[in-house]
Amino acid sequence: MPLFRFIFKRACYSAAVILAVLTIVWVIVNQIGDPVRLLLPVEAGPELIAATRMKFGLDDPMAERFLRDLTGWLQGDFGNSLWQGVPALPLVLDRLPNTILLSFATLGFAVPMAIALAVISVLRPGKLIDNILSTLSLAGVSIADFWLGLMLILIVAVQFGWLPTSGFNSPEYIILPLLTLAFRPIGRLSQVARSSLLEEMSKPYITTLRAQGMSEFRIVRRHAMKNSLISFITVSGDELTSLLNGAVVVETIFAWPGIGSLFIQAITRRDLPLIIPCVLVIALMVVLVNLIVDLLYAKVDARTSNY
Amino acid sequence: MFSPELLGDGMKVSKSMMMNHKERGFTRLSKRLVLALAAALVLTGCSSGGESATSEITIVLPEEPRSLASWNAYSNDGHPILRNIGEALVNRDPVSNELVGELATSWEQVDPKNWQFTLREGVTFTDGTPFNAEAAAAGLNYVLSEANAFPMRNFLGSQTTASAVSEYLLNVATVDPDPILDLRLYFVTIPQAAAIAADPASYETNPIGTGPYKLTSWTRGESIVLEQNTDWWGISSPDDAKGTQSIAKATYVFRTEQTVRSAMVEAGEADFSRWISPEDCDAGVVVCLGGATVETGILRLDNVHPAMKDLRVRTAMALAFDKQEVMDLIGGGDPVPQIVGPSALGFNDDLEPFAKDVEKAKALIAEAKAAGVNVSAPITVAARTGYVANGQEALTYIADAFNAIGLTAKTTMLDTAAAEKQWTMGYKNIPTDRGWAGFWFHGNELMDYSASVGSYYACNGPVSAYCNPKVDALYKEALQATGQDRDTKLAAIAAFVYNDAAVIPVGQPLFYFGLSDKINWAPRMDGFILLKEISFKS
Repeated sequence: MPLFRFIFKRACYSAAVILAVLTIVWVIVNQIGDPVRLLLPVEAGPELIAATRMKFGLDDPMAERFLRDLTGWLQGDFGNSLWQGVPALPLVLDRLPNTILLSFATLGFAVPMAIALAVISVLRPGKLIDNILSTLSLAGVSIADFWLGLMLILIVAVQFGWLPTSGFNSPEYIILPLLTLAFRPIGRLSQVARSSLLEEMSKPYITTLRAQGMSEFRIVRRHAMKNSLISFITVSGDELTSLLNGAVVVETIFAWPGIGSLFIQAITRRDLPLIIPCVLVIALMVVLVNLIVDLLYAKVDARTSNY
Repeated sequence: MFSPELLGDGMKVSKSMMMNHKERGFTRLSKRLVLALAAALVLTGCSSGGESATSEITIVLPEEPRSLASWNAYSNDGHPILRNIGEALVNRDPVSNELVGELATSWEQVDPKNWQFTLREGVTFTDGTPFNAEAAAAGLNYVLSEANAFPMRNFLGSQTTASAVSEYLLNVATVDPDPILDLRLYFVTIPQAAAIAADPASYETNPIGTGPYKLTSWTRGESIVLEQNTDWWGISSPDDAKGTQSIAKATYVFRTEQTVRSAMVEAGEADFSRWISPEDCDAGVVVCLGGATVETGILRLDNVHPAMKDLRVRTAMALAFDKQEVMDLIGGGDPVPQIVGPSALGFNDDLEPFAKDVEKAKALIAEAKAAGVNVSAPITVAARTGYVANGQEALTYIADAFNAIGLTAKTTMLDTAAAEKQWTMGYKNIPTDRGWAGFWFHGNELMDYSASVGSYYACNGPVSAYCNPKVDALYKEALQATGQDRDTKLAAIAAFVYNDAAVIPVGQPLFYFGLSDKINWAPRMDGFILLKEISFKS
């Protein structure tokens, strides 16, 4: 199947899926709470509530509102955020570069770290260093990023004053959120890389290479690594998707102005016009990452290159 | 710090000579990693940001405002900033809490439906236009317009309309008599109506007021910066203004996590942090202040519930638990006998907080049971998630106390939207089997008990779970009263609903603020954070 046709087919499927997701989200959000109640003081009287509802068009029948919103989505108009009173889509797009920066920086740090840890483990299988690294990677997967983030702030920023606690002013502000976010991917990816490398290292062609006198490190770097990359790429794509979905907790703790923190604020306020473009952008990123992962498969494994 | 410079060349060579091929590869990889990390640290720098200049401060707040428009920024997220940009006709003295003039120098109720305010002369908006009665009327009428239906209207009584009598005399009329209109107008900062008309879309993020500071930048998601308004009238009248412009520039940043807000003060990144936990206070914020407020923690009982509609059961619930214990659990504060504190007009000095008396409570439950009341009907002690520190512990303590006197109670915590939906049903719509004993904070910013009665005790009150025609009649009568008569009438309602145990008042909490050691400030009862009241230590 030619590449263009493959991408076109995927785009059509994805558009249908995204539209279905937006519809489901729209219905759910409309059922779980009244944004007007959250906008007004809790003691607001029924007249003010009714007038506010009318002002935002929330008093119209549900079907009418859905059709109006759907028409808007198809035209790229998501309406104004109820919370901020400005067009919702630009709010999300403003945050997108920050989320992409944090996500790619985190993955860019986590991937080489995970590979390095996996290689160290594979070079010393069953030894003390392997056991230590396996335990650490398990801790990385298990540790709560909420707790880790606060600990890093208290120790690195408050106790030692090495880095700022939170915010988004200059490059050093990315380090603590990046480290907090990277812990889990490093743990998960190093576990995956270690197990697939160990599996690869047990294959007959590796034995042949060893018999030729090639060093273990060279065997790993030149031969085993590439052949064990498939599962690593899959999990890396999965991790990137999670990061792009919005590292909600970490973005909130560190006041990182990304999509995750915006999304959680929109949900808390039942701000439907803001929730929908958040979901749309996240869904588009997931689709894009999955497409890139599929194309990478073909690059590293010729058996999957016919799409 | 581990750095490549610490490894001498000689050492590297000798090590290399002893290694086999595998180890050499491993060492090269390690060195690359160390170099990459060191380079990253050098490139990014390891400092925590520069110290601010002495006349500048950074204030960290829990939430970014959704708007800085007068009509929306009444709430907790908006007024800490807006109230420095805009001013109202009246304010409260930070020490005595008495109403004092701000943009008005004097005022009087000329008849039951009309108030007249004499405005301060020589005041200008930050865009240079003069502030006079015409400007004040236009601004107030926009904020309080029926057609605009802004949330600010909730703080007013009947429809309120302003008009200019002369250049500096403003008349404010209400449809129904309103003896506390001056208290209500204390919430309404007056916007520049001409600027709204010129560009209504951007006014919410670019407000123009008469206050001591003006907005210079707002980076959504990051910060808001205010700088001195050099034309502020208060510069020449600091006594009337109740403050000075000690601060040249204030940068507001927003952090949801209270531990992070505390950490910013400790790390020297912020000078002022709003609402931190008592634990963080103990852990060492430079200066930690606990301030009394107009908020009261209450336990509102569903008076339609098979058990809680009985006075004996409600009284038993009020006696079942120790109010001080609850306040200690949620961060400190004092028990009160009413849903307002002593700062409010109508506070009844003769009442005492319900004291814990388990034996009496058990006897009342037994008596109610013997009289056929279904005391085993399930009760839910409910609250909003994250609304109070240690909220779940407090709810569990209360539910356990109810179970200990013979009731059947459990706890639940709901997210904001779900909790508010339940909270705002109104007496007539509450299902009889819901059985909520809801824990909530009620703020009486008007400092007039009538606002609390109208909300929580009137049959049509928006958050009432109680209905007694006698209270409605007393409330209607008190609303029209003024001065001492009003105080007496409201205090009588307080005594009535106390004896009816309609709502269980728990206590008034302390809210904590973290301050750096370079500034002076004292918390206000109304929770305002006015830059003109912050000064630098000499």
